[in-house]
Amino acid sequence: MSDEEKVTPPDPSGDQPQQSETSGEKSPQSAKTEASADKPAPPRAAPSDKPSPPKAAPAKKPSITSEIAGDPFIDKIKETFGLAITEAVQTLGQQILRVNRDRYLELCGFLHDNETARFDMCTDLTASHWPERSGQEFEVVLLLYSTPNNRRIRIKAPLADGEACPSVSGIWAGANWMERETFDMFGIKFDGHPDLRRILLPEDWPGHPLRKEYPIEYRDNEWTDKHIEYREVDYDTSLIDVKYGERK
Amino acid sequence: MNVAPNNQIPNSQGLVKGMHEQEVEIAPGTLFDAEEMVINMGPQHPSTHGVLRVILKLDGETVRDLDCDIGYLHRGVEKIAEHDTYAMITPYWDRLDYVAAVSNDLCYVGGVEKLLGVEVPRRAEYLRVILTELQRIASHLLWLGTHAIDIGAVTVLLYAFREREEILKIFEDFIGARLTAHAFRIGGLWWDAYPEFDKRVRDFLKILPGRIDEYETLLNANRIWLSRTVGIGILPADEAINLSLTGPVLRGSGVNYDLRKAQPYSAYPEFDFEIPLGENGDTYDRYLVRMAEIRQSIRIIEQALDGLPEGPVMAKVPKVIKPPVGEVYFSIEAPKGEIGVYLVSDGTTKPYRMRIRPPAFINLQSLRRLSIGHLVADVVALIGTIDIVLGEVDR
Amino acid sequence: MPAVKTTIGRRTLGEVIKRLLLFDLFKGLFVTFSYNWRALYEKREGGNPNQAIYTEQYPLERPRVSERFRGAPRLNLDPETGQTLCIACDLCALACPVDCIEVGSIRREVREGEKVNKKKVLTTFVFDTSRCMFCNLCSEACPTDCLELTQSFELAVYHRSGFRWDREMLEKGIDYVRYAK
Repeated sequence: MSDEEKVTPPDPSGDQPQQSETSGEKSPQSAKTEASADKPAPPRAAPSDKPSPPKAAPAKKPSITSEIAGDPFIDKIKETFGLAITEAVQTLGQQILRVNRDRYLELCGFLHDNETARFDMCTDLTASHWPERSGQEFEVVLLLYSTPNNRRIRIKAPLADGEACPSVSGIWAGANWMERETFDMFGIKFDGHPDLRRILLPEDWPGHPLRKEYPIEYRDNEWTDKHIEYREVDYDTSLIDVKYGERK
Repeated sequence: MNVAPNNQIPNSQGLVKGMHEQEVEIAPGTLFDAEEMVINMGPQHPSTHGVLRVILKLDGETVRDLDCDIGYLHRGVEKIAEHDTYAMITPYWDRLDYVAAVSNDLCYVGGVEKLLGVEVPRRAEYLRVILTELQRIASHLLWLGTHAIDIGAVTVLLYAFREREEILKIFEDFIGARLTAHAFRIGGLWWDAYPEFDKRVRDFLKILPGRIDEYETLLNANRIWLSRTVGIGILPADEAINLSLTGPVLRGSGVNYDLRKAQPYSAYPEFDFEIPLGENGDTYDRYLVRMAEIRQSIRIIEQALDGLPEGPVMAKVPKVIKPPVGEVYFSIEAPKGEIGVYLVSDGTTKPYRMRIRPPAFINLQSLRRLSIGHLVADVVALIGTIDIVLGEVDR
Repeated sequence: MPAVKTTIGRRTLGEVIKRLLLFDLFKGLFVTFSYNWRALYEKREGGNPNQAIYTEQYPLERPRVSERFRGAPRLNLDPETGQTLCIACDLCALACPVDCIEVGSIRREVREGEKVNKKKVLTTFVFDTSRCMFCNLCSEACPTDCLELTQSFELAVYHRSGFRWDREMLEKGIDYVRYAK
């Protein structure tokens, strides 16, 4: 996690090799900095399909993320899953594990059933979109809580665009709607989900809104044309600027 | 969602009483010979507390299956947040759970402060606790009133709204708004308490326990109330945890999980209070838990008013808020349950990703589990007992 | 948590008498009626949490609006000169989460005593009250205490165009209709 990476402008070709499982794993900091370059500068931002030139790198601040050291439980997970755990860091005291997609479900089952850990509650399941990370565009973020131990852990599983993620709704029933929402907002498919439908948006809505390429001001699309009828309304123009008391 | 509008009326004998009390024989295989009927409850239904559409599959009066259709109030707050600066997002949080706006503000503001590493002045923390607990009382009172009127106790609604009105007046004098408060800023509060604030809150807290006794006179041993709530929607503790329930719904099942004690935030470690727990996990227990929580909130507010420190209410926060690169999850105990914010910062003035962990949305998921096997009329009671606000369910 | 009491088995004599005399019904009605007779003689006064009547007779009676209430926007004028306090810095428009403020300005030479300064001068100010969510962020961003959210709350108009408040309207404030009995 060198600081030099922070100021590197994003590779325009987008073919930066992803060396997971080795020490050369791209740190989340560098990837986030690259992502910021694509965010348009004006507040009401305009179309995101045109990449603006990278702004000046953010001022160097001491990193709030560090490797987890000296936690026997995390060490045990690392031992059990080996190279599948590509990252084990903590941010502000919150532990984050990044796991390969192949062993994501296995890790979740382990965390749920492990006698010492007992992560029996799935607090939240969501995702984030990183268009610059080629091959790992999406990241499913799972927040777990252990009621006996009063402990939280965050699991991240990187996914490529279009790749399906194993569903954890068989382990935690509460993850059902969260996965449906993640599918609705990001278009991530969950393998083994009992009822994967859109939940907040209409069934035939085009696109997935929380993807970065989805524009924010996107009102008059084909869906609204199809479903909402516009009518000319005749209104009484004599009522414009008439105060209530003056009205006869 | 393919729900065929079929008007099939079940009748196992194949007999239907006609309008003139004549027995009409229906041939098997016709319209009336069906086992199940699908009906819609909502989106415009007074007891769904907003635009919630519940699709019920009924066998007679018994619910066989249930599906919730939500999203009518979806405004895309998470998407808007990616295009607004950190300070701009706070007013949007008021509009999630709009009957507990102050609690929502505390969650978001606390998350950004944690990411920034800002130390909030102690006076601000105390005032935040007072306002948040008042908001919890207001939210529970609104819940009590609407839940009671759903079940048929009309009087309680008017009484609960009367007490809530007092809290809203205190809010209006302190914050400047009654409902969509925008109470807290990143780093503290915008306004300090006004001179009569202490007296107003104490006056209100003096009358409130008597008023709660009044509600309990009306409800606790009420025959109709008991038969509508006792034994309805029983949820064992392990199932409640597995369904990710939080808040009074979880504590009604006897799970001691309250973030104010489990992972304390703000000034909560300095106060002495208890976590009321239910035993049976039914609708009546959840009612008792909420009533007991109001009493505990009174205790917290009294302690906070007694120990209210002097000093500034705003920490030194840079005008342009630029958190360091990183991410944070911060959650508080809102009246509905655990409301959380997951913020990913890329070092710019806008969050890269903001995820709201909505308690009402996740609790509503349990409606299917709770309702199956109960009668249609109990679905109304069960929607009430989960305490949903559609602004937060749909975001 | 008190366990739920259910009457199973034989009732005691007291319970039978209570049931016969409809004790529970009258207990409930007592709570209701204790307010009804108080409403006959009690006067409604603001700030008393123990009052019996809560209904405000709006519009005959103006509601009590707090000092910090965030209502209709206003552009304050300098009380001495009558000039606007706005320096057209555009901070309110930048702070607004819903983009409801538009500040129009030109750079102009302004004579201040002997010196001639080139300054930004406010020309137009448009405030869209239909989009505003009254969060007070614009007022907090204002460096000269010019833009302020006031205690006026009657913002309903008959036509959408009435929601676009121009500079004149913001400086003058809306005039109320006074209601009389």
